[in-house]
Amino acid sequence: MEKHTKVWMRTLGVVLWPSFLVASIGTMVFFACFDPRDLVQVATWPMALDRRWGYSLGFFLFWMLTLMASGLTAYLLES
Amino acid sequence: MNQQPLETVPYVAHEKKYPREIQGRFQSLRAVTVVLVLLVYYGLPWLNWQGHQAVLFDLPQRQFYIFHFIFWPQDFYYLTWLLIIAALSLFLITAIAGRLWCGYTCPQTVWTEVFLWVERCIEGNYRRQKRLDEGPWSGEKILKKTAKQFVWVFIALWTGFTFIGYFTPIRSLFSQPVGSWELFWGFFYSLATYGNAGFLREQVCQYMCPYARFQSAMFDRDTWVIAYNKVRGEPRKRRESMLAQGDCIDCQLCVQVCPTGIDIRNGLQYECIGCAACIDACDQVMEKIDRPKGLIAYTSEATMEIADQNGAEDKFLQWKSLLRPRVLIYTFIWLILVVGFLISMALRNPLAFDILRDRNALYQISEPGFVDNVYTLKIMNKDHRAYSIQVDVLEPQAVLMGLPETLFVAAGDVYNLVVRIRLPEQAIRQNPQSLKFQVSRSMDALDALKVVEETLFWSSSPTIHNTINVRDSK
Repeated sequence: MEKHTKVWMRTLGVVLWPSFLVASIGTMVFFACFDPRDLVQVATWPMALDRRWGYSLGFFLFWMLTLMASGLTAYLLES
Repeated sequence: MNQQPLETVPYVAHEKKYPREIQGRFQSLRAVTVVLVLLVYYGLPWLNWQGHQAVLFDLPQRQFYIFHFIFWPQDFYYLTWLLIIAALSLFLITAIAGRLWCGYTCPQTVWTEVFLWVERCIEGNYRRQKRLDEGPWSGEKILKKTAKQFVWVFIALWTGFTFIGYFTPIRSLFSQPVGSWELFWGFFYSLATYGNAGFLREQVCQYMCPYARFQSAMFDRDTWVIAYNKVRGEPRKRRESMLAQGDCIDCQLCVQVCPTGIDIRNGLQYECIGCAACIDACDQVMEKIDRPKGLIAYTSEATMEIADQNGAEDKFLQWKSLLRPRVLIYTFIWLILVVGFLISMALRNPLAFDILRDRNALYQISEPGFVDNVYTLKIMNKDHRAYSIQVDVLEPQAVLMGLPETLFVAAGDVYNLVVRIRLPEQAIRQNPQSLKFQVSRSMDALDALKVVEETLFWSSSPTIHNTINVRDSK
């Protein structure tokens, strides 16, 4: 039982860390090209975000995407 | 290299490693690099330079201060360039001497060493640590474990605090209320430090690090790696009474000191982070038993093979292998990139501007016979002092409207200037036609600068009536 949990933990690490790295690079490239303050002005939904929020939310959006991709890959490989 | 694909490695439950501490020349060198990395990381945010924090990534202002230079989002390619240089440096070093990065400067190694050191100070050496972990929860155990956790958490929090100090002026963190995101990222980084250096340790290298996996692609037969000299060492001599055989006395010291818990005598393994603790350990033993040092040493596959054949190592060949094509090509590309970077930095223009067209109207006809276009000029003064700026339009018959009497742009500031360009219809050659703006600073001949940028001027001219996608084009 413990062994099973440990494998699961390792998979989690292998999914979390690379997706974090890729999301960081994505965030840097994206926000070097776009200013979050300009982006909120052309957003579909009204948003009032300052840059700190923009960067942080942007990063988590990227991380969520990379996390899902890495997670699905890991899931498909294991099942 | 003994590297099996993941799925064929049978799962072995992870056990906490208790690396035995060791002294020696490589461990002294490691201590120096570890302290240097720590000094740079914790010290840099406190350093001031020309009135601002020397290294500050001011995200809210979208400006990066790095000593003398101020970087803007427009300078992003410098960062990309730097990252490419860094990657290539890693390739070059890996090709020459294996995983020096991992063993000496990787933050994972550095902070693990710090946490190990704390553990050692509080719980004693590796034997005591193990005994403490295996023993019952006594008062002493609770006291030691609490003390260790306390110091670990403090180091982690200080690391997180320093981290936000790179993005928000670190001194202001004491005087002003800390924002919620700063607080969040500070704790996030602290938690990562604590988890990675306190618990995951070598598992990060073994299971999570991409570099650890693909570094073998940069290895070749001439790469210096930490290797055990099988010819000299085998067969191992276990007891004094045994007949004199190899130099290895199977003391297990090289295994005990290994932070990833491998036996280097089984050949190079991907778990090896190249810390050279086993070299130091083995050298000590060789000295004690009066045998030459270097049973475990930095050497290459090729050197070892030659040593096998000739019965002696050829140090000259090992150095000569530095001139192999792989190393030369990496060095060549590396040099080009570094020199190019330095030249480009030296010639970097501290005055720049972008032209944005008015989004609402392509052109306006305010007076019969004249066409107007409206532009926003974003004028950036990347320099350290304010400058008086002059704006001109390089079109003989064009009238430039909307200029203020005087235009000063402060140091490190962006000035958004809205201008209207009026052109008589007879001056229109094409639709759209090219229009050039010139922005120049100061009359003083020494630091006078001119920058010219091109944009488009739209009109109603029927000659070319291409109105499709008009809004999207610049």
